[in-house]
Amino acid sequence: MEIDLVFKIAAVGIIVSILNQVLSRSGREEQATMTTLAGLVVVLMIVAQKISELFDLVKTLFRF
Amino acid sequence: MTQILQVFSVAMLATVIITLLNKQSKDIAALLSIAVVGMILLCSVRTMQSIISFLTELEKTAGLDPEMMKIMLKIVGIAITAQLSALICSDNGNGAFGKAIQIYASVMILWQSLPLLRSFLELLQKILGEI
Repeated sequence: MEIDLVFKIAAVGIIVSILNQVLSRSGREEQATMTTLAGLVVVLMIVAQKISELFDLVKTLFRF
Repeated sequence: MTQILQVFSVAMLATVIITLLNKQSKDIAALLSIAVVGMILLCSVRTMQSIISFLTELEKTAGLDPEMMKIMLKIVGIAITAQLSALICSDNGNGAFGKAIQIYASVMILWQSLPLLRSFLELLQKILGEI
């Protein structure tokens, strides 16, 4: 669980930035922005899931 | 011991990757830092479960009010999460968010401990009244 998550997010980040540069160099600025946004949304969903898991655990542990 | 070393190495690896991603896309770097903080907190919270069950055992043998234990645990939880979220916000350049979160957390902690403080005040009044 631990190292996989870090590598996944890092891989998504690197791929998104490479695609961004390729698309903006070949002139398609809007598609570049769209891929950046899509990558951001994907990573945000993964992180939000993990953070909600963490907050559930904190809630049960600290007797909220 | 393996888990401890894994956590340290994941943190250092993530720092390097975040420095790399900062040049290209600062947004995903910020998300990665949030994810790593969340993961490390998850690992520590899982170990905290056994520590807190030991604390409840202690409190049972000492005969303390269980309400006090609950309030203390809530306060510790609020403090830890608030400090970490504040640091994450100021790491990504929003120092004002961090400060606002800290103020909010102190107000919440005071609000949680109000019943304790009230019963302490009543105890004081009783003692002073008897004098």
